[in-house]
This record gives sequence, structure tokens and C-alpha cells, in this order.
Amino acid sequence: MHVCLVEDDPLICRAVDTALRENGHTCLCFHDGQEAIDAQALAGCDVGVLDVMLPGASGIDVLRAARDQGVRTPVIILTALGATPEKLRAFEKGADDYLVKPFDTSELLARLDAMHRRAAYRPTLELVAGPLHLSLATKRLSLNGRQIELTPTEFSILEMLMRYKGQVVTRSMLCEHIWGFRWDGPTNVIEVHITRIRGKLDHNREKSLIRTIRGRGYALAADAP
Amino acid sequence: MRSPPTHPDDTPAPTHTRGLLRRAFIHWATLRLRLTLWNTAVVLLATLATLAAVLVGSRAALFREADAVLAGEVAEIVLAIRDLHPDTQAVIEELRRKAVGHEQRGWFTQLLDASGTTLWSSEGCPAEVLEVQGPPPADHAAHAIELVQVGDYRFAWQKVDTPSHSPLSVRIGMSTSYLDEDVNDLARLLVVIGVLVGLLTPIGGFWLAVRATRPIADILKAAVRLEPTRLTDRLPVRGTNDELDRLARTINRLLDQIAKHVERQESFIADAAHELRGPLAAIRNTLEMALASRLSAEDSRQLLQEAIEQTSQLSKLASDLLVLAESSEISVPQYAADVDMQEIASGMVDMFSGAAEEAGIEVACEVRGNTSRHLRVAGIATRLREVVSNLLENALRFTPRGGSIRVAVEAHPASRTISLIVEDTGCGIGESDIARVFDRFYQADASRSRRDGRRGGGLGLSICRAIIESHGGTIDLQSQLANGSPGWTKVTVTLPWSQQDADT
Repeated sequence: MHVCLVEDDPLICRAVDTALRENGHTCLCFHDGQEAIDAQALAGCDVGVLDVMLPGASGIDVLRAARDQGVRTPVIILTALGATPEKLRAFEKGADDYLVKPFDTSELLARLDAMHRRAAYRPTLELVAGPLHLSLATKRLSLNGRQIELTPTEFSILEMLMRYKGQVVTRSMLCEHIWGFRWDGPTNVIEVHITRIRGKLDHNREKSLIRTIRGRGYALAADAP
Repeated sequence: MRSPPTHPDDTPAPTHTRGLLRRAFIHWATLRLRLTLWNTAVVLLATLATLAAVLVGSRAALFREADAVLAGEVAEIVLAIRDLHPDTQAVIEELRRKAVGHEQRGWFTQLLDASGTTLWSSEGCPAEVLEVQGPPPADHAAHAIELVQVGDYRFAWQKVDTPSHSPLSVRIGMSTSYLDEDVNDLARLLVVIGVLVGLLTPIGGFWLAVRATRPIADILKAAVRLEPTRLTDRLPVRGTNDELDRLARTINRLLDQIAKHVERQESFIADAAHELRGPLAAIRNTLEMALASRLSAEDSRQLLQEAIEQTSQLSKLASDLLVLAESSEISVPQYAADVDMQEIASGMVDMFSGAAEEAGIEVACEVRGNTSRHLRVAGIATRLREVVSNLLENALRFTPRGGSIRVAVEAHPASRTISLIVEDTGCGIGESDIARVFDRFYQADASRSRRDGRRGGGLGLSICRAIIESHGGTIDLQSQLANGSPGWTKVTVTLPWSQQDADT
């Protein structure tokens, strides 16, 4: 995946660039909005990451310029402003996703990946991760062929983890997916569900299929036996 | 003339203030000028109309009086000579005798025959009158007296009407020039009066204008002194309760509101900065520890993980502050959608159900009353979820194991509102604290809030209130402190029905 990043903060640029390269992607950085417009940065990449507040031209300007030229590259907007009107404006101008700073680098990666996959959309009715088979049509999970009963909340959590297998899924991503709301308060509302899922999946298993990434979230082992 | 409020030269005021003063002075000067001009114009017009009426009326009265005298005289003479007729000589004699008296008064007498030819005229009879020949006044009315104006002369003309003889006629007249002179004298006097009024009116008008605008000038002077950094100053209210007092009071009320708003903003910023220091200090300490050389790589890694966790607290605080700032600025209807409160409540209860079970607390959600409809409000779903989740989080935090939390959604058709109630059997809140729980960064008990290392920012309830108020609703908290008997806390959120729902 080739990512175009338009962001004037060198620290964020470096962190995102490093994370992308570590995961086998390539990244091209622009520090100025006008530069990005002139270089038609969005036309030449798979997904775009745009900061809103930029020198030269704002991220929204970069996005509008690209959309006016018919460029349909999926774009995620980064901003320090969490205000609703700001979000609405970004979506109006053709943004596909939105992330508020400070953000978890792994969440950005997961979202980029999801957008990229959506762009080349293949409808799927079954998710597979190692021994797990999740049927979205029948809402059933099987582990090594053995049927496992899940509550609707547990099903949603596992679905999210399987879609992003091998990647970190943050608690707020899970909350947003399940309850439509990014809960980031002190109460860990996910943990107890994860514990229960583990209880159902990890019989006689040394290492849990679901890893806890401390302070960030959870990840499903991509290649467990 | 009044001098400007402060003269540009004798104040070391900054240029913009000076420019303001000058502009203000010109403005008020022109207002005074306009008032003066209007006043003058109105008074002058009224005076001129009055003077003209006086002149015309006086002239008419003078002439009417003269006519009456002439008519009386001619009637008397006609009566006197009527019996002497047709002895013309005797008539003339009689007239001549009477004319002596008349001439002393500047009158003249003339006797004409039936064809209008002059038979006799007194010495003072002017040529213009003699030239007026022709038949006597019309016959149709006996004793009719005709009043004729010829040039500067005016005379009364009457027939000496006897049935047997050819009629004579008599004219008695006078010069009207002295009447005109009287009128002219009066006119001259009136012109003098007019000029005096014309001179005095603008002066009086300006005086009035100055008097009328002086309070405005005072207000202006006070307003010029107002500065955004010194919001304690107010405009003078004189207690006269007139329009200007109302203006001053209105502006003062606005200043009060601005001052309160600014104060709130300032304390908010101070609180926010203060609160941000906590997590920042924690991160700094953790990072310093991680850098300490005697630590193993694994321990350093552990500490760095912790630092990342601590940033999420900071991030939560920042987003809470944003929500607060946003909710006070955005009017919700602009972005509102129809939101089902029951769905919001049950969703959030579901979100917390796992954590509650873990903590040994029972959580239930119910809908009260016959309310299959009317559970919708116009609002922003994520914001309302935030409210419910904050309330649940609080309830969970302060409720001991074995306690219960009940969430109820209830529609009130009478007031067209929906209430959402979150009730817990927790430790409760003291009476003195209840009033302050909605204040920003207020923690009823600082030690309690750190239970399990979890820490609310102290913004939860103030965020709830800001969100609910921006939705046009109210939030209310009742509580009973656990004191021998079990304590409880009940938060009631009341929101208006969504319009679409209310109309159906």
C-alpha cells in the first residue's frame, strides 16, 4: 500500500512513516498543503492521510482539489479539532474517515488498511483467522470445526478483531464498532467481554488467541495453530 | 457651545481613542445642529404664519370699520336731504353745510343725478372719484348702499329714493391711504418681531439641543472610558427612568453578561491548564524513570507502555475540554437528527453491563409508562451517548459491590418532554456538594475518585450539563448520603420531544 501523508508536524510524520514502513508499506510525506496540491499527491497513491491545519493550503483544500479533478483515492483526515462541524465539513468535501489527534498509530494503520480494502471491495461472508471461522451470514463461530456460542457483543468484538487480524484494535475502535460511540473513559468496558471470549476460545491453549497490547488494545494472533 | 468631551490635545490618549473622540464629537455636534435647525424651522414657520394672519386680519378689520362709518354717514345724509328733494339747490346747500364737518375729517361728498352726472361735489373730492360717472347703484334694493374702491379712495354710494322725482344719489368717501399707512405700520412692527424671533429661535433651539443631548454626551464620555480589560466600569444611570436610562441599563446588562462570560472563560482556561499539569507531570516522571540507566530494557519498556497509557488520560481530558467548549458554542438544532433515547440508554447500559457485572453491580434499563412513541429527541447521538455513559460511569464508580443502578426512560406528554433517570444505590453525595457537582473539575472527594487508580477528570457532570443545555434540556441531581441507612443518587435529564415526533 502506497500512502501519501500531508502533515506539517515532523514528529508525527516520522512516527507514521516508520510505522508504515515496518508494516511493509511505502509513504510519501508532504509538509505543505500547496505543495501537495501542485504535486497531485493524492492521485498517485493508494490512500491519503491529510492534516487539516497546514501551511500553504489546508488539508480540506488539498482534498477538494483532488476530488474536483476526479481523484477518488480514499482519504483519512487528521485534526486536533474534535468539533462536530469540523468533521461534517471534512465529510462534505469527500473525506472517507476522520481521526482526532492525538491518535494511536496502530489505529491509523488499521483504518488505512480498512479503507484500502474497501476501495477494492470484495464482499465476504466468512472471516478466517487461524483455527477460527466466523460466518457473518449465520452469525456462527467455529474453532477447529467445533461450534462455539457467542453473545451478540462477543460476536461483534471477535468480528472486528478478525477483520484486523494481526493488527492492534484499540478499545475505542471496538466501542465505536459495537455501540456507535468512542468511549474513552476510565472504565474498561471491553475487558470483561474479552475475558469471556478468551474463556471460550483458549481451552488447553498456552497463549491466548487474543493478545492484550497494554495501554492500546487487543490483537488477534494471525497465525495461531 | 459645548466643548468636545475631551479635547484631543490635552489627553495623552492613544490615536484610535482620539480619532474616536473626534468622530463622536462631530457626530454629536451634527445631531445638535440638526436638532437646532429643525427647531428653528418649525418655530419660524409658525411665527410667520401667525404674523401673516395678524396682518391680514387687522387690515380687514380696519376696512370693515371704515365701511361701517361711511355707510352710516351716507344713510344719515340721504335721510336728511330726502325731504328737500326735488329742490336741488336746497339739497346742495344742506350738503355743503354738512360737508364742512366732513372736510375736517378728510372726507368728501358728491351729489349725482339720475344719469350719473355730478351735480355738486365738495372741494376735497378727488378727480379719480369724479371721473367715475354712470348710473347710480342698482335699483333692485331700495336703500342699498354700495361701497366702491377707486384707487386710494373708498366711498359709500346711496340713492336718494323718492317715488315722485327722478332719483339723485349721494357719495361720501375718504382716502384709504391712512388706513394703508396703519396697516404698513403694523406690518413693520410684525417684521421686527419676526426678525427677533428668527434670531432668538436658533439660539434657544441650540440650547435645547445641548440640554437634550447632554446625558447622551455623558454616556458617551463614560463609554469611551470603557475598556475590554477593565470590565468593572459601568455607564451612569441617572434614575430618571427615561429612554437614555433604559439605554444605559441595557448596555450595562450586556456588560455584566460579557464580564461574567469572560470570567467564566478565564477560570475555565486556568482550570484546564491546572488540570493538564497532572497527567503531564505523570508522563514526565514516567519517562524520566524509563531513562534511568540502572533499569533493565524490559523495565524501561514497561515504563514506556505506562507513559503511553498516561497520554490517553491527557487525551481524554483534552477531548472533554473540547466537548465543553463546543457545547457552549454550537446550537444543536443545526446538526440535530432524530435520536431515540431508549436506544441510547439501552446501548450504553449494554456497554457498561460487562464492567458492572465484574464489579458485582446490577444494571437495569426500563421504559416507564405507555410510551411506544415520543421517546425521540432532536439531538446529536454521540453527544447524548456521552451524557448517558458519563452518568453510568459515575454511578458505577460510586456504587459498592452488591448495589444496583437503574436507568429509566419516561415520556411526559403534558410537558412534551422525555426524562432519562440514572439512579444508583451508591455512597451518595453530601448536601453541600450537590450544588457544586456540576462545576468544572469539581471532585466531591478527591481520595475516592482515585479508587482503583481510575480517575475521572472532574469534568463528567459539567460536560453532561453543557451537552444537555445545548440540547435545550435540563439536568438535575438528588442524593442521599449513606449514613447508617443506604445512600442513593438520582440524576434526572429532561429533554424536549423532537418536533417531528411531537407533530405526529
